[in-house]
Amino acid sequence: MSPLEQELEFFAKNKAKWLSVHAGKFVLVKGSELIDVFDTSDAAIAEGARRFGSQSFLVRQINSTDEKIYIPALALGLLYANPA
Amino acid sequence: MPILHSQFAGQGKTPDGKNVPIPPPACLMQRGPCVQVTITLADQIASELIKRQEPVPAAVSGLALIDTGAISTCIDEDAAKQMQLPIVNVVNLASASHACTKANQYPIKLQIAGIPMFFNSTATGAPLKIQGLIALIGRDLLQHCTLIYNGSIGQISLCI
Repeated sequence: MSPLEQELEFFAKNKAKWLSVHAGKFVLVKGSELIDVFDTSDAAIAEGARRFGSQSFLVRQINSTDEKIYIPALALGLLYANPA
Repeated sequence: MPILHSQFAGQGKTPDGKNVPIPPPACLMQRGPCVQVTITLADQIASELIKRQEPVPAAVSGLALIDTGAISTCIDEDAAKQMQLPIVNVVNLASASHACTKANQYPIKLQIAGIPMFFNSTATGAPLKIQGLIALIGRDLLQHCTLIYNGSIGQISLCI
């Protein structure tokens, strides 16, 4: 099982419902349980740490679009590319 | 206001094996704007572990490349695993050559050597060790900084 698989599945299942009431906020999810909803990711991480210590947990913003990170140098393999 | 001036310098070899200094502008161009950093677990989690009298992962130090193209700060995936950092999110990492790949996100505290300040951030795991890096400093951290890239004298200045 990949990291946070259960949490991500639970998030996907509930995202539409949460979007209607908590859009833009951050959820804290552990296993298949919504722990709480927060205004900032820092607050969600702090609560996750208080409850779960060094275990992994999911903190994700409720947005209509999926989070996609673009790092051009990585994506294009350009870190320290040298002329041939 | 803390300011870090970093002057780049290095040595190369001529075809006949003699050591020669590389001009600072060429050093900066080849290496990129790198700074020495130390990465530890984010404060929110570290303080909780200390309260519980549980061990806090040891810090790792190395080079970080300042990458104004990166939306998110990245940490070397192997370093994150070695530190046993908890995962707090999984994101889609866009790639030019294939479909998005999944990348873990870790809560970190990053300190740049020479600047008496630190940043708590959520960093994206990426394979950086092969490039001799432990981190890419992205725009999520750079939004708090003034960066001057002075290529003509091989110097960068970072002001927070």
